[in-house]
Amino acid sequence: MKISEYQQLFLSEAQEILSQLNNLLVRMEKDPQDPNLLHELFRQSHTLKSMAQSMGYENMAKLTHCLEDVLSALRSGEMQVKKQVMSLLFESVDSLTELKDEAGRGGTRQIEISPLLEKFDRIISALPRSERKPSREIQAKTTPDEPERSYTGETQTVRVPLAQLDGLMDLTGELVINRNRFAQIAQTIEDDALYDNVAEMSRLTSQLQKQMLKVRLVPLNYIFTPYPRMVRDIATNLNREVDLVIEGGDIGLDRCIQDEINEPLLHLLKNAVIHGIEEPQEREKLKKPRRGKIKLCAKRERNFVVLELSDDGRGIDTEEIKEVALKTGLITEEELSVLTPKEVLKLVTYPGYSGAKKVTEVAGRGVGLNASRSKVEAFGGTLEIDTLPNQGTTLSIKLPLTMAIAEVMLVGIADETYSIPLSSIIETLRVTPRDIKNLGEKEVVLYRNTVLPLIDLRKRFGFSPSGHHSPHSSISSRISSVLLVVVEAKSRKVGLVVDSLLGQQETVIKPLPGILKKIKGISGITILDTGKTALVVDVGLLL
Amino acid sequence: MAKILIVDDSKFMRKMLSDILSEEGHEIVGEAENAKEATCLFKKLKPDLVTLDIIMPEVEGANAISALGAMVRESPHAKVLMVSALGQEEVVKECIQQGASDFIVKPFQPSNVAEVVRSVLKSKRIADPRKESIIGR
Repeated sequence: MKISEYQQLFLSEAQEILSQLNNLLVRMEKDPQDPNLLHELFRQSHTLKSMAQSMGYENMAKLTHCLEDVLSALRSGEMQVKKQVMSLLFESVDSLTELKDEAGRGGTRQIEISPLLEKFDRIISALPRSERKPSREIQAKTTPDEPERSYTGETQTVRVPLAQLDGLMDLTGELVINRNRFAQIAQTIEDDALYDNVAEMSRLTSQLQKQMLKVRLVPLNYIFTPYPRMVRDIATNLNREVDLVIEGGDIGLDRCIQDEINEPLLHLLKNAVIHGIEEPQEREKLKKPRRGKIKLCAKRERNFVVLELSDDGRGIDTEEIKEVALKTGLITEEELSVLTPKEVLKLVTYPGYSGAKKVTEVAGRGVGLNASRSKVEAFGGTLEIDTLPNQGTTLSIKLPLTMAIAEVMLVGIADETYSIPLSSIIETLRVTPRDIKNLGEKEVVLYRNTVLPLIDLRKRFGFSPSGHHSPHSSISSRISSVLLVVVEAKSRKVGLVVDSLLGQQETVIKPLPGILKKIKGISGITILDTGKTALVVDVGLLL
Repeated sequence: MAKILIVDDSKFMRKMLSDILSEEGHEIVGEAENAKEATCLFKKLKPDLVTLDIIMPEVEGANAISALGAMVRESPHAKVLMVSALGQEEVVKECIQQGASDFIVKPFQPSNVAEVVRSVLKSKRIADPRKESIIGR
């Protein structure tokens, strides 16, 4: 039998089981009396053991065997759930994860597990001799545990490799583009039969596209599953007591977005534990429950998913923000005086802001919130903060359901067509050259009573300015009227100067290949109805 | 060639068994990952043989043994082959008493699985306590 064929399957299922084990352990630590948890832990370890044995992964098999022994001792009551036992169980799941990763890399036995096995030996041999024979009979459970196997589900499902799914998605994207071209051609040829057929095809491709998008959506548990264990570890390290409550893990979100959002989300979670939740003693003094509570809640709102991360900790002190912002030179006293409390709060997401009093291993390097916000905004999402002193902080992250299909506005710059994601556009307007003022080196217009800086896309993308002026001529010296697309990113608004507005289109944004990826101000490429390509302006990076 | 239903909570294990058995020329008519699904599929697919893993996620109090019982009652002709691990002798014994035809032990050898399946398919199923003797082999 070709074992290598099974490796992929083994790795992905082992990963699922290990995440389950982690979460079950976190729950057991809180509720050691629940027999269902123990039962489920035992079952999962048992499955993993059989799998490891079949693959010939001896170390994994040995370790899961020890895990089983301890779990059955716990189940039969010979052993009690104590701190020492818990940390050994956690440690072995960590080792198993390392062993699994090692197996995935094709490595062999770099990881030493004998110290861990010795620990198991000590703990097991401490049991009374006569009772050492593990009781492995299966007991029928009285109450069903909530089924937590995230992606398999009870109904009949098929597992499809992601690459195949991506392939289908790509093809669907191409089909949409092709349909758009078809529709355009059909308009020029007046033929009823052709027209009807194109209309029908149009309807079908739209349906196909919608279906495909749904297929790509993966339950958020995909990234949520390891969180409880992580929060537990950080909290234990810092001597905090924290419960993490997760809601809405079954809500679907594009897998690619989940992959990207995972890290920022982790960062925000760490922040909540480290900066949000007070130490137990302090909480008691404040007449709060000893255990802090962090809630991560996912909700679906039309074509968006909203992730709400709230804690019942100390909240963010706006006075402290002001102090830090002033000290680090982020803002002047004058600027600060006109900010609303909400705007002050937003300062914490600015580059260079760090409220951490001391940099710890896990958080507080001053790049976190800013990086998180940039990431969220890069997806056309938003990040908002709300806080109440001593009652806690809530962060809301709003993300589009999928990245695969985007609405863009097509604009002309010189002879080229560029597209700007509709999600970042606020409005378009036409101003006269007289409206454009110079503020230092920058050109600005007065826009709804605020000063709006302008970016000339001709200049930015290296085209010669329109008209017969020198390449360094300013916008205002050129033409009779100036077209602006007002966009917002990183909570800043800016006016992009374009030559013409060409229309709006639903399209597939593809990443630029290779070294082109690094071009600043361009995030990808789209194919137009005409079959030509258009670069996508990356609003976030232009600012 | 027999129609076979595979019941195991691990996809990995299901894949392994299904490969071994298809290699033998059997038709894998279905796979189930828990007892509830298994009993449901059993009724629908009417397999000749079921491989039933002893540890599966139980649903509403049902477990491998009660799933086995349900299958035996449902169709007296179908054979049930228990899949167990070392250390589960007691449960295996009970299953055989309840009507299971034979058992295989994980991690399995493909040749052994094929052989046991062949002999089980040939045999007549009788809920016979004398079958206990195979445990000792």
